Amino acid sequence: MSASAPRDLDRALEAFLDAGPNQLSNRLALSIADEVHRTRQRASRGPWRIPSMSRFALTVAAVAVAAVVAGMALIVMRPSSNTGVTHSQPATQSAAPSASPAVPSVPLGILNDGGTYGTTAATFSQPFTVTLPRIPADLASSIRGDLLGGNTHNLRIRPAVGAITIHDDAVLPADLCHPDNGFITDVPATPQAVGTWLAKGLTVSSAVQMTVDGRVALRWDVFVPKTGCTQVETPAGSPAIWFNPGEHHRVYAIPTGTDTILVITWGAGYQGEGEQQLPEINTWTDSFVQALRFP
Amino acid sequence: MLRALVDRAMQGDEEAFASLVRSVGDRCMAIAYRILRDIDLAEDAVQTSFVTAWRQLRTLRDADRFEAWLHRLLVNACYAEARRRRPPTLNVVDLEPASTWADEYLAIHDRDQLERGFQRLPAEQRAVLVFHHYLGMTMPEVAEHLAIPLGTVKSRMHYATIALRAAIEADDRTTSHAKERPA
Repeated sequence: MSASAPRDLDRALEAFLDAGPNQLSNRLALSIADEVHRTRQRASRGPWRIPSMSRFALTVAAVAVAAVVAGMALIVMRPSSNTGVTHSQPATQSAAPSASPAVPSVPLGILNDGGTYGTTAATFSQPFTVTLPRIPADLASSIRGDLLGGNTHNLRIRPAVGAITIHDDAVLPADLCHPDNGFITDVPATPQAVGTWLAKGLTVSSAVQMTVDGRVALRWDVFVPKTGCTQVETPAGSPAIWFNPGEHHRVYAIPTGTDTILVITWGAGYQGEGEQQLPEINTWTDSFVQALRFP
Repeated sequence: MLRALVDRAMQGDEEAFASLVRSVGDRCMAIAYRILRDIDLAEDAVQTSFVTAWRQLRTLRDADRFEAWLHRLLVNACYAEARRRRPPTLNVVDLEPASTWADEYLAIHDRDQLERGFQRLPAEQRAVLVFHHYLGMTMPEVAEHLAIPLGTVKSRMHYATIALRAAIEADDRTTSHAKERPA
């Protein structure tokens, strides 16, 4: 068989697919607008939305946060060179503020798996380093990081699919199933207390014990019941975690020595509607958590 | 620009959403038509995906990935249209050894032949071909936009290509047999 045959088929296929309509008709655009007008948006909220504020206040807050955090971003997630941890691959640095003021997240650029990164005391009360474990090819061709919501204690790491988030000293709903029932101002103090907090409204698996940098951490697989959980349109706070009914997550509680931090996996809402790859994300996050070090 | 529209639409701004429809609607229409090969089905899929996007916009956690998310909804709508409207077709192709493929592929120029072969493919395989060959996405990008594992993309691409070749070959054989028969 000639080596050129597949390329000929590829070229023929490209030419074939190139032909055909490329425009949305005005009639269809109007029809969509009409149906949208008659359709109510679901009231659920993602975890990174900030509460309702006036546009002016939002912009002022975003600019202020971006200015502070952008400077901080240069040091917050840098390849660690002074922690004694092997630094195998340098990171691409980026401290540009988010393009939109609506979510004042600060991108930290591309993170390389195999690279070692560290936070500073300016962002997490107990700094940590982590060597990113090798990520499966079907989860990501790249990994990005960003600081979220103007709260420097919320760090998000995003493969191509899903995300993992890390939280410290964050304002959280007192009951994740009823987020209108008030807030707590910090992550519960111990892994056991985190388990009690989760079980207030969620379906929680048995705790699995893990060793992280010589400390005993716990993890749970949680499910947010599809019915009975409240969704709040405008929460009176800025919670860093906002689960939606029907979602699954894995939650890790890791004692840092003086505090406890949370690591959470996310599938739904990041890509499509499903959580198909949550098991793989969970597996990768197990390795991620076990790679955490608290110098 | 797109991000700002998404943020406004997330807050219930219908005009912003209408602008989003105008911004990305052409591309959606092109994708849907190429997967479904039917203008009416494509329009239904596009409308369904935009209305679903509007309804579920607040569940989108990463506004920067709006378009990838929308593509996922669109492809799901295309699958549903393909299942709902099309009578089941016999997806039977001859998977024969490829000894004579090369010369025949060099001669592929008949659009009708490609059309028939393409329409015999399952919608899931057509979607992968469209995202890769029409939109020019790499396989990891296709995986991201369709929210399927990279291995699945490669597998669908592989089987789609084999099936397309075999279908074209079978089509050729049918044509040549028909020509040989006396009227």
